[in-house]
Amino acid sequence: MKLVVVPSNKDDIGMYIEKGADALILGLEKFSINYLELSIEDIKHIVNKYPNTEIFISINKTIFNSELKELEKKMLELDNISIKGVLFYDLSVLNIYHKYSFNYSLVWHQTHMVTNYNTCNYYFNKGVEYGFLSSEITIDEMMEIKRHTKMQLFTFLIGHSIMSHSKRKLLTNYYTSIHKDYDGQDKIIWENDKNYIVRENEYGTCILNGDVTNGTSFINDLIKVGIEYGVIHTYGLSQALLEQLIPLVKDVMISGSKARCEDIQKLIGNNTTFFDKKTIFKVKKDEKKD
Amino acid sequence: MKKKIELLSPAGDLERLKITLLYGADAVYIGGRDYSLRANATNFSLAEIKEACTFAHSLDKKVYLTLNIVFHNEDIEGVYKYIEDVVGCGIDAFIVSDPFIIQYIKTNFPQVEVHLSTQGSTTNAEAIKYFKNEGVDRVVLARELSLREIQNIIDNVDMDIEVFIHGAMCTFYSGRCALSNYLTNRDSNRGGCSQVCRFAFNIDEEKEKFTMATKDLNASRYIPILIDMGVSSLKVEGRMRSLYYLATVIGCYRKIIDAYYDKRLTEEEFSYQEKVLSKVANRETSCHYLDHEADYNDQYYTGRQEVSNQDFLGLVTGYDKKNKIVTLLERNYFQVGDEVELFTPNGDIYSFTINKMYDNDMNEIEVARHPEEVIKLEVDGNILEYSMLRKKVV
Repeated sequence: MKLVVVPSNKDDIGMYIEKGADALILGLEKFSINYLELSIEDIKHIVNKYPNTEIFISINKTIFNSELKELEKKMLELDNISIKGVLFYDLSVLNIYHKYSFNYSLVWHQTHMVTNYNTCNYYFNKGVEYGFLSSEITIDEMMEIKRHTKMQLFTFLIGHSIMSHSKRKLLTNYYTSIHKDYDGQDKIIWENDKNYIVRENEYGTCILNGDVTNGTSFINDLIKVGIEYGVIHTYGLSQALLEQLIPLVKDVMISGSKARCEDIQKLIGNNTTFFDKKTIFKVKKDEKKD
Repeated sequence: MKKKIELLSPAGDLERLKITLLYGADAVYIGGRDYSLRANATNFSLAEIKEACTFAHSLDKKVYLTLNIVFHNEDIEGVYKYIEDVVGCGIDAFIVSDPFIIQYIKTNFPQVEVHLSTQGSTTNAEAIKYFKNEGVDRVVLARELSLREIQNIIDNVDMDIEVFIHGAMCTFYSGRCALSNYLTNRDSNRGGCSQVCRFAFNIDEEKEKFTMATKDLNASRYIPILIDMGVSSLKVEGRMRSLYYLATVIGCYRKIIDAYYDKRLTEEEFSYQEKVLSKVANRETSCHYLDHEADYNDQYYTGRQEVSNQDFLGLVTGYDKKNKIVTLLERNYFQVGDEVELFTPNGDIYSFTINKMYDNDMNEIEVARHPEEVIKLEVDGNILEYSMLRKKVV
C-alpha cells in the first residue's frame, strides 16, 4: 500500500516525503474543495522537485457553465506536467477527458458516492483507472468492492473527514444574523459533546468531522485485498504530530505492526468512524412487502 | 410548436397520486419500497405501482419511479429483477443517480426513459453532454442554479431539462451531504436523511445557536420565465406531503401555467395563487438561487420554524346532486358560521358561509370537532370526488 498525504501547506511537503509519503494529492486553484489550492506553476515546481513522488490533483469542485472553458484549459495545462492523475467529482471533467488523449489518469472521487463495485466497474470501463472510496462505508464493503473491481483504490485513513459541502456562505450568513462580521476563520460547532469544523470560502461552506478518523488498524485487511493507496489528510493536524504520525503509518503499511497501530492510537485516538459501523436508512418497519 | 411544459408532482401513496393527477399534475414521481431516497415514506408496492400507472395512463398522464439511492454492494442484488418488475408495471421513466443503473436500464429497457436525479447535482452543460451519451433522456438540474445559468445550459445542450419550483430545499449540494450519517448514523444518500441541517448547534464564543436551515422554495413568480426559457418539466418537492398540500400546490401551479399559456395571467391571478400557496406553507419561502446568490435572507437562524396548518377542514367523499348535499370526512375543527370554500379537482371554487351542517344520519349539528367524522353540508355546484373544504382564503 502506498501512503498518500494531502498537504495543508506547501512548506511541509518536503517533510511528508522525507517521512514516508509515496504520493500527494494537491488542489488546483479555483477548482478544489478541501484541498490545498495551488497554481499550475506551483504544481509544476512540486512535480519537478519530487520526481519519485506520485502527484495527484483534485478537481472536486462543483462546476458551473461559466467555469468550463477555464476547466478545459487547466486540464490541458496539467497534461504538460508529469502528474499521475486527476481526482474528479463533476462529470464535466470526465466528458472533457474523453475529448483528449491525456497522459494522466482519472480518479473517481465523488466523495460520498463511491460505495459499490458496480459503479467502480462502470467508471473503470469509461477509462477511469482509480477510485477514492467513500469514508462512510465499512471495511467489509471496501474489501468487497476491491474483490469485484480492477479499479485501483484509495481509502481515507487519517484526518477530519468531510461531511458536507454547500454553495451557501453559512458562516457569513450566521454572523449577519447576529449583527457581526465573519472574521474568515474556521469555526467549531458542537452538539451533544460532538464537535464539527465549519470552513467557508468563496465557493461556499464545508463541514468536517471534528474527530480525527483513525483507520490504521484496518490497514492489514486493506492490504490483504490489494487496496493500493491509504490517505492522510493533514488539515487540522500539527506539523509536530505529522512528523511522528507519517513514519508510524508507513511502518504499519510495510510491517503490519500492531504495536505501531497502538502508537498511532496514542497520538490521535481510535475513532474508526464507519470502518466498523454500518449506517442505517430505514427507521420504520415495512408494513407491506411486495 | 413546443410541447407544453410538464407539471410534475410527488406522491407518497396511491391516494395522493390520484389526487395530484386529478388536481392537474401531468406526471407524478413515486418511490418503490426500496432504492428510493425517501426510505421512510409509505411508498408503493409493485401492485400499487401497476395501479398507479394504469390510473395515470387512463388520464394520458405519466408515472416516474425514483431509483435514486447511491447504491452500496448489498443493494445491487435484487435491483435488476426489481427494474424488470417495475417496467412490467408500465412505468414511464426511472429517476436515477447511480450511472451503472442508467446503463443497465438503457441497455435492457430502451423504451423506458431515464431521468438523472438532482442527487447528481448537475450544474453544467458538459456534464449533461456526458449523460446524453449515456442515453439519459432528462436531467433534473441542481437547485443551486440561477435563471441565467439554466438558460445557458438549455442553450448549449439537447436535453430535456427539469427544474425544481416548490418545496423544501437542501442546505448542501444534493449528494454532497453526509451529516445525517455522522450525527445520527442514518445514510442520507440511501434515503435515511435525518435533516441534521435543521438542528441547532453551539458555536465558538457565541451565545446564539448556529443553524443552517433554509427556507422553502417557491418559484411561482418565475413560471412564465421558465416556460419561455424552454424548460421541459417543473417539479414540486414533497413525497411525504399531505394530500391537501399537494392538491393545493398542484392546483395553484396548474392555474398559473394554464393562464400563462392562455395569455390571461394577470397580476391579480398571481397574487391570489401566491396567497393560496402561502396558506399551505409550513415555513417561509424564497426563490433561493433563481434570481440571486442565496444569502442570509434565505435561511432560518432560530432552530425549527414550522407552523402547523389547520386550514384543511374536510375531504369530499360524495355528492348527492339531487338534494345538493356534500359528504366529507372532517380533518380540522369547523363550525356553523365559518367562512369556507370548497375547491375541486377541475379548479372550481365555491365560497360560502356554513349555515347548516349535519352528521352522517342527517342530524343537525353545530360543530365538527373529530377528525375522520362524516359531515354533510348543503352546497349547490359541480362538486367532484376529492374536492376539499378549507377556510376561506382572504
